[in-house]
Amino acid sequence: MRVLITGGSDGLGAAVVRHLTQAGAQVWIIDKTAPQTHQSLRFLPCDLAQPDDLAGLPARLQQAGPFDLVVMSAGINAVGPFEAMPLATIRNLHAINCAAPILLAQHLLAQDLIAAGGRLVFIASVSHFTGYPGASVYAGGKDALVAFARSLRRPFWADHRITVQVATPGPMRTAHAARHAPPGSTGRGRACPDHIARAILRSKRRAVIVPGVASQAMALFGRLFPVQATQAMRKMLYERLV
Amino acid sequence: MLDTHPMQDHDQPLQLPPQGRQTWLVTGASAGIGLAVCQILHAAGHDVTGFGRRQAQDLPAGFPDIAYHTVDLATSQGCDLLAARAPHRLDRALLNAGLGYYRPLCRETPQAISDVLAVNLLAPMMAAHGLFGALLAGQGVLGLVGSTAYRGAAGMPVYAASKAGLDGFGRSLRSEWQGRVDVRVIHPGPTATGMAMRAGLTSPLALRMMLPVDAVAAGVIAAMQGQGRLRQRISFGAILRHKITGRAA
Repeated sequence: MRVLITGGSDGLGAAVVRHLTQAGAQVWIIDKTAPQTHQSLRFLPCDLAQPDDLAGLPARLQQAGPFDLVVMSAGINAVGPFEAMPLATIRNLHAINCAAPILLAQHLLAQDLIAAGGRLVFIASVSHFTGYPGASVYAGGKDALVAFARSLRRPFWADHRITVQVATPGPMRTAHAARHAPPGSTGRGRACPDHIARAILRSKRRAVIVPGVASQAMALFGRLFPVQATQAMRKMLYERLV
Repeated sequence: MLDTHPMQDHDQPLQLPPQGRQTWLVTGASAGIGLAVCQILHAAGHDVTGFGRRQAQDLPAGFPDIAYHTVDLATSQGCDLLAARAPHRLDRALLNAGLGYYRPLCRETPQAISDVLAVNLLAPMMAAHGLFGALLAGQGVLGLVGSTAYRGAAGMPVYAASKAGLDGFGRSLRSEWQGRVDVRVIHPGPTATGMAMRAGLTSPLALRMMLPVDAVAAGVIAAMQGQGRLRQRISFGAILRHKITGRAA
């Protein structure tokens, strides 16, 4: 199996890579920094915030593809009151979390780099169900990915036999999550990225994958009580950030 | 949805709403829903500053006598200009400028994708950032104009993504700014502005089923008044219900 993954050097992406390499897959990683483990992996350095870097990717991938699985896992976060967030941060969040996966999907499709029968998986966030006060730009970008995946699902299956999915993980024990947790957070209740990676890889058909018990509980609460869920997120995160 | 500010018929005299004269900022003012909103607001005696892509000399004949600035919100300079030219105190800011193409991903181009995401999602975020002070001073309402496509639309995936992003951003921002600035996301259904035809929609039935632009504009203005919910949809059902009962959806 040939796999392409963005953000595969760290966090959830690295956990996905670990599972896939154990299963014998050939993995190509797109990331800004090289992976710490698995030095033998094929690594394509790329700054996804730069459209020119992104546009150059398909040519570099031509020999490697077509891929049976593409995972758009690269993402960044920045927390704090929106009005105090530097404009450069807002631009960066938009470019990496929202524009890059959409542009890369277009490039891969145009160059026939996703194999028929393959999967295209976007990594969004459980904030899709709950909102995320204190990270409004992040929440917006992730919601865009959910709608984008939903929009692509039917035509991609009908025209290309490609399954499009989106996963909405909750907080995980990753360096990324620890950096953006409110001060004093113990990190308890965060899911292990390996469990989340396994849940995502196992779920081969579902349109929206809600991996892990914690994110399933958050998603259910958000679906049943959307206003209260956002209010709870505000109390737990935003009010501890300001 | 449409309860606080009744829709105006053109043969009836327009009156100031109970809140009195308001200071409005409207983006996407040179055409479509934004233009209709500016016309209704100006006729009702409100103070309106409009922003649009068209040059002043290219504005349509019926353009109201309001302050107007040309900006391209796909660029960072355009977003900076918007913040610089905005009034210092705002009652209402309606971020309505939008761009879209009715076509599948295989017929998209990277430039068009970047432009749609920049105008429909990044620009409203930058504008909201720049207008926070003015809205706070006026204890104002920030309106983000989305689309009912925000749940996903197979025929226009990039546009749907941009509007879903706006919805998700608005939801979290409303919570952040609660008690300071009221944030609302208004989702009109397909509206007969000509944007759909320019965007590549050719089905005659679909074009006939479009919502009338004046009714949508009045609905958008109504959604910006009074105590509003986060998410408000403008559909045939909502317009019809309002016409019959005079009350909200």
